[in-house]
Amino acid sequence: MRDDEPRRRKAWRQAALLAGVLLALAALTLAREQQPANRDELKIPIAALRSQAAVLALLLAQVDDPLPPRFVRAQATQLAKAVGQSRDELEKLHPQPALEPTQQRAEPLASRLDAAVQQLRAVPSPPAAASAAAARSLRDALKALEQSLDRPG
Amino acid sequence: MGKFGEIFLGILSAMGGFVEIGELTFSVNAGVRFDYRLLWVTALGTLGIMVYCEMAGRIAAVRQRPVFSLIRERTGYRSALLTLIAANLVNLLTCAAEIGGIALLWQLLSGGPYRALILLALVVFVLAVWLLSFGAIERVFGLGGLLMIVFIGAALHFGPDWPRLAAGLVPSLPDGGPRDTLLYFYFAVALMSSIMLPYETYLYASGGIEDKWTASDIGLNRLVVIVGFALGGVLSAALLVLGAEFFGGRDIEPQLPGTAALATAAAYGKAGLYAALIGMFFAFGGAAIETALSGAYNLAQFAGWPWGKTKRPRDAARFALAWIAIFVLAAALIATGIDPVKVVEYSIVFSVVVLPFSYFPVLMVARDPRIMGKHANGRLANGLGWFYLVTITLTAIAALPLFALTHAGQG
Repeated sequence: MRDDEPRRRKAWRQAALLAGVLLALAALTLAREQQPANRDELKIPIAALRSQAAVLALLLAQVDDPLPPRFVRAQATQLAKAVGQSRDELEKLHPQPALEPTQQRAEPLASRLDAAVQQLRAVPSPPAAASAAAARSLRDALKALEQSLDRPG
Repeated sequence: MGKFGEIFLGILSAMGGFVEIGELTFSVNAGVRFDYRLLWVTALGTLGIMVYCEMAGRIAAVRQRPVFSLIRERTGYRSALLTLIAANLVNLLTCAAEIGGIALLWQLLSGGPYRALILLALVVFVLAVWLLSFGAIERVFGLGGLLMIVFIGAALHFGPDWPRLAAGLVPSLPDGGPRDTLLYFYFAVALMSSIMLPYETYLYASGGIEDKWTASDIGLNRLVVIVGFALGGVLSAALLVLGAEFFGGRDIEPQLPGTAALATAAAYGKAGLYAALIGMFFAFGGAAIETALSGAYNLAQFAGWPWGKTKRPRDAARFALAWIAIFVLAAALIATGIDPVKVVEYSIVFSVVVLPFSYFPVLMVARDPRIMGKHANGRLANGLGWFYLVTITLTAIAALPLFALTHAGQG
């Protein structure tokens, strides 16, 4: 069936409207990307790292009993990838000037977490008690940073 | 096989694939972030999927009409085409996430490389769907998926707080500021969507036609839907309880399937760990097969091609090609290295937008006595049908703004 002229014009209008909305959304997203990261945006990678440190602590607490080394190594491999992504996200952020010290405090914690996960990946049966305590202390430090972002000023 | 066997198989098929990687992630994290406060959404969503699958199954039994044929007839070509594109995009994304989830699980079991395991999963699923009958797929993945019950056991092991659990069945806003409230609504929308994913309804109705249901199977349809989805709902609630009781106290927001299995390992040792990993494999595998088949059913039913697993591939060649293509595209997408959980988050939020377009035609046909005769909806089915249609429409309107405002649920 052939479209008649009014229907074709209507279709063009709809297409133009859709394209306009998409362009506006793209412009808004671009404009937002240029803004420095606020508290909520900085909190996202820190919260992810805190959760990953907590997973590491739990893994270390269960090494050998009941978790078999193959599972621990594979889970550490998957965790290492996730930690790497969160660390990249944290480092790429350009936060508001007042938040820069928080970012700077989080970065070495992220590096330590990365190193701890890589170590577990290489040696899936480390001295678990000491490592678990270290992972818990990393988790607590990241959690304190995360909570500091809850408070304004 | 007698009626009892059919009921048993039906229940298993409703159970297998109900809890896939998206629902696992959202349910556990809903518990971590909001304790039991989102339990009402699990209950609401489970009743909703029961209502619409029951209607779709009844239409399939009485009129032998699958959902997408109704969508095209009731909403017209253009609207149906848009729904088809959106629904199949959701199917493709969900299938990709499930294949990625399976490769992660196999990596935990074997230590093998992730991308090679994606390829292996692709081969295994194409062969499984090619070689196994519809009934055999139901049996294998339904029975295997029952191992997910270990999560219910673990939730009971860590002791749900029953008064708080009961209070969670009544909607209540979280303590905290506006950002927590936005996040709460985002999780409510995502949880609702993950339970009411439209592919379950497409597949359920098409499966009823494949199984040659007739009007005499309406009672069976109702029983399967109620018992099967109730079991799925309990499992979903158990995951939320585990999130609240086990992971919440440890500051963990699980994003990997293996992390979820740490709870069952803590409860039952190695046996709990392996039961969870194998149960998740069958549940995710069931969902991968359901989404690939559902995509092929949708396409064939929309285009009027011959379709069906009961037909030989040469007699329904385009249908067979469609499900193979979905598997291949899904595996290729996830092999790019994109995070399966991120993919499923996008697919679940996007699927909310498709829900009203999928369920509206089902309600229109199921309530029409000229089409359904004495099997048309009664007052209860109509009332529930309209209630859920309004609910999912509001959910669909809210989904994308909530997704943007909460940075995809991250905060």
